[in-house]
Amino acid sequence: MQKTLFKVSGLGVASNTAGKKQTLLNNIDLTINTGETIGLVGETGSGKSMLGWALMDLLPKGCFVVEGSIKYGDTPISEIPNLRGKKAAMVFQDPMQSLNPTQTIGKQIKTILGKWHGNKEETTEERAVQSLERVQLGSVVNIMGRYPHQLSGGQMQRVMIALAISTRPHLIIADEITTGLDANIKLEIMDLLFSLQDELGVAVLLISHDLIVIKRYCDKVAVMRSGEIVDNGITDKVFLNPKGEYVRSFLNGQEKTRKHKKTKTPIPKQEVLLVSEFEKSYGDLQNKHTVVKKVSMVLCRGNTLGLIGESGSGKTTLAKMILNILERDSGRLKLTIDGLEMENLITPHRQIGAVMQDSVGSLNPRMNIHEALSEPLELMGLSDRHVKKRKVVAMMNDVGLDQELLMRYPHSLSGGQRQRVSLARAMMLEPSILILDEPTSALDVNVQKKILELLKSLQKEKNLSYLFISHDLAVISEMANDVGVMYDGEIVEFGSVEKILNKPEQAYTQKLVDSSVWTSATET
Amino acid sequence: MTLTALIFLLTLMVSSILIPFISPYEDDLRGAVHLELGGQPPALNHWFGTDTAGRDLFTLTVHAAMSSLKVAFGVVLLSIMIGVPIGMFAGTSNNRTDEVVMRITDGFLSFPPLILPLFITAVLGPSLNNVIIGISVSWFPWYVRIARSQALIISSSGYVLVSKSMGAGKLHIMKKHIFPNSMGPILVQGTIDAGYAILTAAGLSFIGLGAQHPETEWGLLLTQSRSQFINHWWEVFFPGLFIVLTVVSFNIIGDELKTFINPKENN
Repeated sequence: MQKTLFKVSGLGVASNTAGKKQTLLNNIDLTINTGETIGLVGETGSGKSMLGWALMDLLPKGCFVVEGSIKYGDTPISEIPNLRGKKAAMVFQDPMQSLNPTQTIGKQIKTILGKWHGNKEETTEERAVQSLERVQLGSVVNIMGRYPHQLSGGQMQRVMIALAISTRPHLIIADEITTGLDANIKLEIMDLLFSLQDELGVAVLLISHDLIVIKRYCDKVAVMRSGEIVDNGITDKVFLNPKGEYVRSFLNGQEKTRKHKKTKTPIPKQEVLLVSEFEKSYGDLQNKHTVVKKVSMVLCRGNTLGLIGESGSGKTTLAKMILNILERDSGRLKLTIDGLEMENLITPHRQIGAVMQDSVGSLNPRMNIHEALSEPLELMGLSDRHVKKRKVVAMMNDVGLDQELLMRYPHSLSGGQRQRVSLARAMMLEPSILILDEPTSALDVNVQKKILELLKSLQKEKNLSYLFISHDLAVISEMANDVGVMYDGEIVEFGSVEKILNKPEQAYTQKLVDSSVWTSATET
Repeated sequence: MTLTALIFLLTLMVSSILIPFISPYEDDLRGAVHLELGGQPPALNHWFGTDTAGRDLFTLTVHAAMSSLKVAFGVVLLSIMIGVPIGMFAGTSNNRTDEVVMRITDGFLSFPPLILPLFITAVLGPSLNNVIIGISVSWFPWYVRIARSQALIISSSGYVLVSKSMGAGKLHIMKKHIFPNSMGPILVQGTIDAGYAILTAAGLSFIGLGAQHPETEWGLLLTQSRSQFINHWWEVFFPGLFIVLTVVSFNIIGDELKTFINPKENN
C-alpha cells in the first residue's frame, strides 16, 4: 500500500525583484507517494526546477510561497526537522558545480555522513566506501582521495547520487541529471538511479526535458508550462491521450525529432573540405598521449557530415584543428571554394565558421548582441558603422531574431536565442563551411527542433556544408548525410547515416547505437 | 555599511582638497611653527589638539588624507598597469613563455612584503612618489597572477575560440574579451589593496622613507609624534584612527564589490 509522502496543494510561488512581482508557480497540485517515480517535464523556464526547490524548502532568494501548501505527510514542510537530507535529497544537473572543487570525494561524503550518523572516524570511512561501492565507483583507483576534476562527468554524477542516498531519504529529486552526458553514460546513470530506487524503495521526482527518458522510467508524469501543471497522470495515458493542444504538440515535437529518416535526397558530391591524416598528441616523448590519430575525411558542398563518439574521443580536438585554432602535429587541410583550391591551410579561414556547444559560454557576457555580431566584421577591417549595422540587422532577420534584441546582453536571452546569435555570428563572414560542435545539446527539445530547422533552411538557401558534432544520434539522424564514428582519436567507421545508424559494422558503433535511449524509444 | 564606508572616503577626499581653503590654520600646512601653542589637547578651537610644534592636528590629519589616497590610487593603478598586461600576455602565450613569466613573478613574490618597497625607496630616495613606485614593484605580481588566471579561463571559452577561428589575433582577444571580463576580480583586488597600500606607505613614512616635512602624511604624523605618545595621546591617536578607518572602508567596499561581481552571490 502506497503512503503519501509529499502533497502539494494549490501552490503558488512568486518572485519580487526590484519591486516587480512575477508569478513563477501557479496553482500546483501534486502528490508523491512512497516508492513511485514521477516525471516532471516541460520547456526551459516552465518552473520544473522551481517546484523541485520548493519541495526541498530551498526557494532562491527573492522567491516566496504566495498561496497553497506543501506537506510531508500531514505536516507542512517548514515544520519538518531535517527535511533536506532525511526526507528529501536533490541531485543537480551539473555535478561539477555541485561538488566542492577543493575537497576530495572522500572528504565530501564523510562530511555528510558525519553530520547524519555521528563523527566516528572508522564507521564514517566504512559507510563512505559502501556508498561509493553502491554507485559502482568502488573499483575506481583511490576514488576517496580524488578531487572532482579528476573524475569524468558520469563518475561525478554517481558521486552526487551516492551523496543523495547516503542519508537514506524518502524522496530523491533528480534535476536534469543526465544533461550533457553521452548517450551510453546517460543510460548507465539512469539505470543506476532506478536500480537503487528498487533496492532502497525511495520515491523519485525526475525533472527532465527528455520525454524518452520519462517514458522509459516514470510511473506518472506531470507536464508543466509557464509555472502550471497542464497535464498530469499515468505516463502511458498522458502520452496516449495528451490533454490540450500544447501538451500534444510538446509530446509530438519530441517524437518527430526522434524519427529516423530512411532516405535522404542524394546531393551531387563536390568536395569543399579535405582533412587528410590529421594527428595530434600531448605530452613529451616518454609520456605521449595521442588524442587524434591519422584522421581523414571529406566534406562535400551542401552536405552535412555528422561526427559521433563519446566524450574524450577527440571530436572537439579535431574540430579545433580544422578551424586552425589548435595546431596539428601533422596532416593537410585543403579547402576548395568556387573552384579555387587552398592547399594545406594552417591559419583560420573566413570560409570556415564555428558554432560552439555552450550557448552561454560562447558569447562574451560583456558584449551586447550588436557588438558580438559586429566583431567578425571588424576583424575583416570593416569600420563603417552604418554598413556594419545594416549587415547585422540583415543577419538577425536571417536567423529569425528580433532587432529589439540588438542592445541586449547574452544573459538576458533564452538558450534558443543565444544559439541563434551564435549562428548569426558564425554566418557574418559568409562562410561556406560551418563547424557545429554540439549546437543543440543544451537546448530543450522544442527549441532544438527550431534550431535544426533553421540550420536546414540556411543550408538550403546558402548551400552551406556542415560538420555536425553531436552525441545525440537523433539529431545526427535528422541532419547528417554521412556519419563518422570517432573512438579513441580514430574514425572507426564512416558511411551514410542510414548505414551507420541501422547497420553498423563496428562493435563500438553498435554499442553507441544500442546504448542510445533514442534507439529503444523509436523501436518501441 | 558599504554606504557608510563610501561616504566616509568621499568626505575624506573632498575635505582633504578643501581644507587648505577653509581651515584657519592653513599656514600649518606650509610648515609654520607656533611653539607657544604646542601640545594642546583636543578643544573647540583645535578639534584634534595641536602637535609639539603647535600645528593644528585636525588640519594636518585631514590634509594628510590626500597623500594617503594618492598612494592608494597610485599603487593600485601602477600595479594594474604593469601587472595586468604581463598576466594577460602570459596567460595567452605558449607554456614555455608562460612558465618563464610566472617564475620571474614568483621571484618578486618571494621577497617579504615590506623588504622590496623598503629597498627600492631607499635606493631611489625618500619621497612619496618613490614609495608608490616601491610598493607597486612589490605588488604588481599579484595582478599578473590574477590576470593570467583570468586569461587562462577566458582563453578556453567558446567566444574566444570562435573569435580565433575568425582570425582574431592575440591583441584583439586581450582587448575585446580577456580584459573586459577580467576587470571584476582585478577591481576587487585593487580596492582591498588600496587599504593595505596606505598602511604600507604609512609604515615607510614612519621610518623616514616616505613623505618628507613639510608634506603631510599619516605615517609621517605618527613618526613626528611618537616621542610624545605618553604625554600627548591625541598626536598618535587621530592619525592612527584615520589610517584604521580608511583601510577598513576600502576593505568593506572591496568585499561588497566581490559579492556584487560574483554572479552566484549576485543571483
